[in-house]
Amino acid sequence: MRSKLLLTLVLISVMFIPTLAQDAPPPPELTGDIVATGLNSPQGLFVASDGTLWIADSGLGGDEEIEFINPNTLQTQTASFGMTSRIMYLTDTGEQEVVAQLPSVAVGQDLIGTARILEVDGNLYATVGTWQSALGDDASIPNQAQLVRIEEGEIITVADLWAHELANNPDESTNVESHPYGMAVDADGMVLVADAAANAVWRINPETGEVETVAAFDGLPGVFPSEFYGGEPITDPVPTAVALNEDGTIYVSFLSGAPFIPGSAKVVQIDAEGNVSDYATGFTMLTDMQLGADGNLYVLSFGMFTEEGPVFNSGYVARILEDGSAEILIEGLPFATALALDGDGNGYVAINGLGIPEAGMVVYYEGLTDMEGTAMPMMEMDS
Amino acid sequence: MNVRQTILLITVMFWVSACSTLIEFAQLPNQPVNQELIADGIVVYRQNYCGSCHALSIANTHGTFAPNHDNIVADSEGYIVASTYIGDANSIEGYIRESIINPTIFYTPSYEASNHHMPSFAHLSEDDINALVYMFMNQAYYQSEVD
Repeated sequence: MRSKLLLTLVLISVMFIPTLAQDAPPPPELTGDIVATGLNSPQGLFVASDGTLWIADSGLGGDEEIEFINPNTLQTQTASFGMTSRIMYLTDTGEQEVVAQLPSVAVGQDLIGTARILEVDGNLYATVGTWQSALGDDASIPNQAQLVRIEEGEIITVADLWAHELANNPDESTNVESHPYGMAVDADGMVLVADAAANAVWRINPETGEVETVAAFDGLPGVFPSEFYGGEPITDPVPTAVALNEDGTIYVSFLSGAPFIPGSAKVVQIDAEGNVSDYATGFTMLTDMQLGADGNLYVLSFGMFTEEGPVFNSGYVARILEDGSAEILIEGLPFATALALDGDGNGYVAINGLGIPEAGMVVYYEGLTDMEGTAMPMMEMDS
Repeated sequence: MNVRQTILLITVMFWVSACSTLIEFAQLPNQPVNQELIADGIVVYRQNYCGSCHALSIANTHGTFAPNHDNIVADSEGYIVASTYIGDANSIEGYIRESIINPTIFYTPSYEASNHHMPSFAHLSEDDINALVYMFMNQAYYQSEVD
């Protein structure tokens, strides 16, 4: 089974609908204030320098149908495509102001659109789409696996990350694929992108579009043999977010691949020479990570899948301490997909980041980084 | 398939599955059921995180990413006689075994489009696979210790 970030969307969209049809999941007990509702699979949040909250919404495909050969079944199938993915911001009165609409693709149970957004020197950048070699060397759908810049509502391609993955495939897995996700900007103004499918971090010159590989990541211990790792029981790391501290150390959060064994997600660090080492371990399904103004890393857990399947309302926000241990600040989040912090330590969390129309929300937590935490239970993998 | 169609399909599948389960429970086993082997199958099922994707009541799993296993016997009976079936099995037991060892030979209807198909579990021991197959085949007669 392939294990990528987009699998989270699949899992939830398929999981949630039948659940509603039978036994409704328990409602979450949110301790924050809901500031945005009606979102379609929100995947990215960003607080701009002026305090504005930006939201990246995946969308739900569209009216245009595209036929393709399913690489697994070799059958002709149809994907739904439309410009329904949105980048928007919250106005002072809480209204959602859309500034750009981007491609959204619904294929099978997968929904792919805009992933994350970032402001660099006053310009708005976004990671968009995904592509894999099994679908052909040329992406036939616009803006797939790209870093783009939004200029007055127009989408400007900055870097074709699929092309870079196809040419380099630095993780050496036999699954050549790109799904650009979390971003950060370094001291030189370069954009770092965590690629959830390529299992790598790219450094991109936003002016020239030049791409270089910062690091690629080994697979994680898995449960079943993977065709992409020589039949070994290894699963993908699935990088979801990237952050830098003042000395230039790069931190990357991993979602981990299917079956998302509790405790198998982690944060790694990359030194100036590109060496990768564990920084904090024992997490579950990390979907986002931010560096707080207090210098601590804050991570977001999507939720938990156990031997018995999904556990509702099991997402959390945790603070990583200097020794690599962690403490949980917020619990009980349903399908948490994005985290953003402002300069005062207040936080925003996107929940219900799934493929159900208008179910997505953003919750505001005042003083998030000042919250007292409880020690996170150790949950290291035992296999 | 849009969301409205998906909900409709799932509703239909739910009722079809419910009816199949009633039929299944109405049948009696032809020979004594090996409760211990069913329990072994449940252990293998859970240890391999099958429940992340599948629901199986006797294993107390709730995954809905993949087909529900409560009705696997009735479902399999339909699959192997379907014109679209391209596997090699000619019995329900054979189909279930094939779907564990070589799950990509035939995709369960309505799950063909998924990009996240089930991996092969051919690496499991013969005993483990036998326990899984037996557990699936006889799940209707399982009596847990709490019953």
